[in-house]
Amino acid sequence: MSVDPSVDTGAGAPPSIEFDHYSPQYRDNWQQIADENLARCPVARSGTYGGFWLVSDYASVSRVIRDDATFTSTHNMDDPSDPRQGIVIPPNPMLQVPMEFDPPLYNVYRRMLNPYFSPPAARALEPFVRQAVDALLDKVCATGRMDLVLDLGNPVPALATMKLVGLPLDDWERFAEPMHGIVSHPAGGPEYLRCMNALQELGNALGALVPGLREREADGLLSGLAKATVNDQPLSDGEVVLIALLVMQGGVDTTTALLANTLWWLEEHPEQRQRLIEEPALLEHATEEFLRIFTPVPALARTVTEDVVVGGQQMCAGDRVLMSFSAANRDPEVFDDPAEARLDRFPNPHASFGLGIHRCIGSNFARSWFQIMLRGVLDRMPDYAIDRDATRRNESIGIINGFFNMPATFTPSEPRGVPMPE
Amino acid sequence: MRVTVDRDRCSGHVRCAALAPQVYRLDEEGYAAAGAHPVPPGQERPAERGALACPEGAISVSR
Ligand code: HEM
Ligand code: SF4
Repeated sequence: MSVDPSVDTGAGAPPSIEFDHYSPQYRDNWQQIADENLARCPVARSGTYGGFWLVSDYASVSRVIRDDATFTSTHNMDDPSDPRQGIVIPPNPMLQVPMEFDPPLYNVYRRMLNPYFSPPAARALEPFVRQAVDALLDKVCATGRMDLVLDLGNPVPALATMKLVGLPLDDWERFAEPMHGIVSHPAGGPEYLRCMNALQELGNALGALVPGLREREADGLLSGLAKATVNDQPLSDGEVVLIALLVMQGGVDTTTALLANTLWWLEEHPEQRQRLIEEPALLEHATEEFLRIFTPVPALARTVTEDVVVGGQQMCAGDRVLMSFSAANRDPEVFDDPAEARLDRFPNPHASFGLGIHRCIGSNFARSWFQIMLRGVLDRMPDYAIDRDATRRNESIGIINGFFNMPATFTPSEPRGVPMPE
Repeated sequence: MRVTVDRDRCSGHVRCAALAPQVYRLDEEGYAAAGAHPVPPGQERPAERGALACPEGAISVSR
């Protein structure tokens, strides 16, 4: 995991490390590993997964992610010998549309999607999200115990995403379960493959809805996509499904992970928990700091299209590059005392939503959902205590740095009588 | 005071508009309206903070 002293790091040869973002060691020590890489080898060569460059410092991560001509997101599913294998290492078995596209085609898709994800769109969904939070907390508040992940952090983003896409809310677990399995287990393992198959079947079910939606008015993104055109052509059924699945994968688990890490940390820092309860205005900056310090999506990949030097290292066309957002977010060149969570940190140009043209399209939703969920907990169970021994982190944090569950107890309170939203 | 948003760099993080909604208007896609905008009186400090908050360095401020 750390720099191997037996490898020649002298003249010419790049620093070489064995970096496995799916390993338990990485899950348990990612901060230390990031800090060590930042200090010793901010751009290093790793031998795992067929070999790739691990880019850790902020300047190099932002250089790579902003230069989409030299560092492509393209994923050639038809030809595995093409080095352009998209934004996950090892490659995702399903094409991520349009995340694994490049300009100019990418921009057409992105412009078509942007209005569904704008700040007004996020605000319009807030009453729904508030009601979902209240109704879910109603179910547990009188008992004095709940699972912060299973009873709140999972269902809220999943329900909101179902609403956004325009799918029946009752089906949320059918979608959320395999998506959670994919991001919490090592890529290519048995659990991961089972969940990928389940997701493919759900994709088929979605595909069956598309022809009907081309004719009929309905709410939600799926209906919008069924009627949308790209360069004057309607999207194919398959593309509609892939876009919807990408949005759903982006929508579930990521915000869940941010909430779970935050609640875990606030319990460890009672004075900061108290501060957030007393100064709700702090939440605006604190959200950015939680995004920075926990980096729910720790890293994503690109492929080099032409020889280029980054951070003093010579990269060659065809090389794969993993951008460590979680390390860039701890770069002391950009963030004072990077290991410290400062709730009022400003400015805070963290890379947690990526940078450049692929900037997380769901960022307006993510901030809003996170803040509504966190407020709900701090308001209704401010003295929550986590059962740390019974809490399990994701088996692997290669895709998402999150938790599987988080049982907690608190002083019981009366339900508010809020029904689940329709 | 004027702020100028470079549309080629702006990628819609919306930190500018979150801190200074009266200075930075968004288009229907949720990106900051491009070009030069005069800063309304009394909005100088929010305008500067909004520019500082932009993770893409897309905003320049001139007096
Ligand atoms: C805290 C929560 C979240 C984090 C940390 C996060 C992180 C990211 C990152 C780093 C990217 C950039 C991908 C790249 O550069 O290749 C991204 C893209 C994306 N995210 Fe998120 N995300 C979050 C929440 C959401 C939500 C709530 C949604 C949907 C409602 C969503 C949907 C997407 C989509 C569709 C893309 C692809 C954008 C494109 O390539 O045009 N994300 N996300
Ligand atoms: S903060 Fe920067 S990138 Fe975000 S909308 Fe404003 S100008 Fe654009």
